[in-house]
Amino acid sequence: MCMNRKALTRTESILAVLLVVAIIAGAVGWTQPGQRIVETVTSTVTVGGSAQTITTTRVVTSTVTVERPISPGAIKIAVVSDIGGRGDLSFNDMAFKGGDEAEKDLGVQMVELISKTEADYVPNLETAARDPDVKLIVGVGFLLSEALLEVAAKYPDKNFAGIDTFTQALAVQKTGKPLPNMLDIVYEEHKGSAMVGALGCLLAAHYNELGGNYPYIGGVFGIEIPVLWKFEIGYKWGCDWGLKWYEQRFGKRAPLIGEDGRYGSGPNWRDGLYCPQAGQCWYKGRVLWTYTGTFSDITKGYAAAKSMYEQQAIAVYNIAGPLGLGINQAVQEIATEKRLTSGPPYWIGVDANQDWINPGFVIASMMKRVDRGVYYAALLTVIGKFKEVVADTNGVLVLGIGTKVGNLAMEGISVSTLADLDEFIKMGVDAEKLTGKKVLPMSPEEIRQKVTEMRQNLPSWIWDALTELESKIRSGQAQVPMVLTKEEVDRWRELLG
Amino acid sequence: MLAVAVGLVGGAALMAVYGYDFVKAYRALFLGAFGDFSGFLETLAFATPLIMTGLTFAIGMRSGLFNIGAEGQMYMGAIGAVFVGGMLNLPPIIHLIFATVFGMLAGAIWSLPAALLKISRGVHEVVSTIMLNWIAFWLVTYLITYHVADPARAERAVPAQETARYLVIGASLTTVFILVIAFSLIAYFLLWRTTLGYELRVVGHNQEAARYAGINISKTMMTSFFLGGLAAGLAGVSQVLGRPPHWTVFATMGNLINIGFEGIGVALVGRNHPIGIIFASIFYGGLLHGGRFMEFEAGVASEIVRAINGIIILALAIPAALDLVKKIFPRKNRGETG
Amino acid sequence: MKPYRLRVLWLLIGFVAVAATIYAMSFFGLKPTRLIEFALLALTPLAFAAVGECINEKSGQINIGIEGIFLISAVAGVFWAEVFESGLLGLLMGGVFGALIGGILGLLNVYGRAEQVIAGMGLNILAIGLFQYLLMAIWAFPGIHIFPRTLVVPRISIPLIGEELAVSPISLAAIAAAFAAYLLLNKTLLGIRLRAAGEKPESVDVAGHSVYRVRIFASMVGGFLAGVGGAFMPLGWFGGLVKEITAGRGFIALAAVVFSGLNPLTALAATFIFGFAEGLAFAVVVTPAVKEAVPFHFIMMLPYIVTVAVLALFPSTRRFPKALGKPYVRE
Repeated sequence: MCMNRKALTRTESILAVLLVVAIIAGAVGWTQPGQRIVETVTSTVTVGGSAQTITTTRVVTSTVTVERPISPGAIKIAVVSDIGGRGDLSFNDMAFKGGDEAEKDLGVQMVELISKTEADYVPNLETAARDPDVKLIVGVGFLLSEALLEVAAKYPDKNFAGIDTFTQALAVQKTGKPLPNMLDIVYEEHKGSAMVGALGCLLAAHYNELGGNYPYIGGVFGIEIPVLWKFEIGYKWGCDWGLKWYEQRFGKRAPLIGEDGRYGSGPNWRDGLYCPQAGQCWYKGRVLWTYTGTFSDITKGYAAAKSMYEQQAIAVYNIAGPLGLGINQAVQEIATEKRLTSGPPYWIGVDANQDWINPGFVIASMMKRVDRGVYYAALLTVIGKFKEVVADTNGVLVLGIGTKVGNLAMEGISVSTLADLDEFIKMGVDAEKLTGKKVLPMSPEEIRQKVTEMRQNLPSWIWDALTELESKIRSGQAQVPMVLTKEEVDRWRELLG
Repeated sequence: MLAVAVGLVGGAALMAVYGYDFVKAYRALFLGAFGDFSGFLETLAFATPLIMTGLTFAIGMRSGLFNIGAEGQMYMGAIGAVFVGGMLNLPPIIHLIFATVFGMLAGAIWSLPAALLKISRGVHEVVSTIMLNWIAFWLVTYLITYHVADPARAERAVPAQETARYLVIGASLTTVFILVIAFSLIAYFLLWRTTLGYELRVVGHNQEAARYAGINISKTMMTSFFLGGLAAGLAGVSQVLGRPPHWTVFATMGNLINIGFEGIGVALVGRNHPIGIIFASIFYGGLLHGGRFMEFEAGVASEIVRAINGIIILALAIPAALDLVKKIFPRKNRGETG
Repeated sequence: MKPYRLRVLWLLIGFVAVAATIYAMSFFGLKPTRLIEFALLALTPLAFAAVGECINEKSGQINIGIEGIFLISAVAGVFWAEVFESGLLGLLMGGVFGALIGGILGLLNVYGRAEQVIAGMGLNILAIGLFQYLLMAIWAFPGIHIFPRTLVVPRISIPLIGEELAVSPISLAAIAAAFAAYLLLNKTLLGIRLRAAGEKPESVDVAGHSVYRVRIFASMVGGFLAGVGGAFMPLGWFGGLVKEITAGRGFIALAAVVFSGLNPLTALAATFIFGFAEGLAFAVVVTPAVKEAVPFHFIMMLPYIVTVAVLALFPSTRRFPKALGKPYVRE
């Protein structure tokens, strides 16, 4: 090869090397931890009468690597996530949060395995199960049900838990009885969605009373899978319940959203209500909804929400984790345009507490405490009562509103409260301490103040309605439809829009 | 091979920066993916669809076309396999054969719009195939949710019936792998030992010369797209009829998404040659499978695993990386370059 | 028909089509101004990247790592915006990081004689992993990072046909960049050199300039523009970072590049059409009447079908530089 006169001159080659070094140095610089934190945590855990004290020491030097003196025989728990892994702002993140808390309080070590494709489920579960130190394997996501069935049957001496899974139903189908080492932890998200649906429609009623023009509420969904049908129909049903409650309480229909004729016309429609059968009328069509087909493309969340707000929806329910940021942007634009410091318009968060993202504009979040589910499974493993609970519950633990395990209240679904807000604010504060960078959009006090103000500005009858709905759900008086098949979803869409 | 080493070094550097023990990580990766027999079978299972989507792209490249429609064609192949494998009832071996062929044809048919657009209107296949990929995505999602849904479990399509499943070897691998290898060998034979293949390659090298030689360009392009579609269709079939424990596609299509694009990378590493693609796929499959061991045993965050995969691929792009290094540090023994 | 008259005809058809769409939209109760606003937002990252890649490809290189640059520059942009407490500087830094990556790719292409497409793919995979990791590592909060609204570049109001549009100045910059790129490529000496490097690199060499320098420069410019586009999403639009904020839009930008035959202005138009169609799809799909009639999947397909249709109906000779993708080796 000839000498290239126009090849890299010495200056250029030095620059090239410097460039590469600069990039690496920059990368290193980015992740300098704020400080080194040593925590010693002693916690006492009481379950069903027996108390145990567990002490752990953690040394956190960077945000991702955690050193811990591993005592021999320490219990490891493995959390196998669904596709997408960490950062989905809801499901998987909550599961890892639960695992983190189990680490802190119970002294277990959490190992994570993130699935990239469905083909990873079985290998991930097996890899975890094969390790002698791993005592509990948690599969997060209903898609892992079959994989859990296969692996749990193969490793009977390990504990398996699944979030949203129906492995035991499959086991019964296949062998006639449930697996003794498998716990399906399922949530009643339809009930929570019903509550925020009622909240949304009552919000519309309230603001319309004051002269506003809000004929709709909205829902932005992710990929159309049966789990989301539960959210969808629950949400719509809740709106209908809320408006019917309003009628009863105030003796008249809710302004605009309860009485307008725009929602439909034709043989079965009567004064804005859809009555396919005598005596059975529904507030149909009050909810604008669409499936975006993605749990990650926030531009679609933004576009969908923007259209909904254009059509005067007062609140949009986010059922697609990160798309909340897109929905938030739609709200923010309206806020900037009209110089608002708080809603309407509102949006509703999901799974994790999302109220803090834009305080004053997120009316509430429908929390699904996946973290508690994982934590509880770890707890049971540590104190050795896992298989007992499996036997007691036939392998399926339902966490919802008003659910109990033994005589321990174990709620899994709730509309976010100020206490929940505090919990997530604390997460943000901890993160800020660790990295030295701002994570929360404003100071914790300001967040609390704005959210409290927003809620207090609403008339008390709205919160009364929600309390009533909650207690009716607990007692079983109110039956929120749980939709799992195509026929059911079609039927309810026919009734509710 | 050297490039692989460079890539591994780069990955090690990345891990070192973040404080991971990269020796342990790499040991975990390689032992897990290739060290024991069951791990190796898993690696092969991951490699299977990649071989096919890689072939789609490679056949296209050999004939001068940038066919990146493997994603969409694969989705169609999968849904085709679901239709026949799940919804129809046929006697054992016939069912399997029919389902496979149907799936492959479905993939091939999906490649036709791009082919026709190219031939008749000169539409560049990069754009048309990307668009077709997305259209296929929405179409298949629709079909899965509303038409072929398992009545008991609406989040997925009807699983392939027992009579339409390939035999299982180990945990995830099935005999569809053999079919895939056979297809690749046939492709090799076709491309290098037949007139058709020769014509294809000539068109790829120089369209003008091909035209002068009397080769029918349109027919050749059509063939290239068609073969690519068959390959991608087989990839889709392999993920349905050849994938325990689910034997089906979920509404989220987790088992299918991105395999088309990863196939492109594999094809390029395999230098667009079927045999090269087979090896490249197995290597990449090893990265995919071994990643979990890195996560589990060395505690490397899964995102970093993906980043390392990226670095390795990046490094594989550089044939003359060593030359570059030599250029920067030769001053002592080579004299100044002005 | 004479080419001039043909062009006028197409312009008329386009005009009629747009007018018909607007009429149809008002029939549905949709507001065209909102759709234009959305289209402008959606097109900004795409247009920046597409214009940059046009320049890059004119010089004979292919960079399919645009998605990767988007991701890295988004994180870098937000990080530095917080350090400097300025959204604009954050955008700039995003561009700088994009240029750095472009520079590395250029070096790899030129000196390592890299297989450019593989390098691009490798970059994408690397960036996806790195992005998610950095999101957690830098801010330690899972899944999302919100920064104060003051860092977001604010919109300005532009009157158009009686209504006010809220437009981000960055979108205007994207449009300006497209025009600037067109001028650069076609009216300047540097542009001629760039294009020559893509068509017949030997000619550049013979003329006494370094093909390598030209190509690395083009790669850096392309990277810079893509970087600004990537940083725009958090800093000019959403006010936060989430995993997969770019969601594959880098590839749509590539499609626009190919679609346009490396003409920056056509690429700009393509990204506008695409953004508009996407906004329209969502506006339509939310309307209750439509929902009953058509499953939303088919409406989601519309932007892509529209693009293919446009391509099929308006074919034009698109030539790509002869030396595209081939490393240049001097003998």
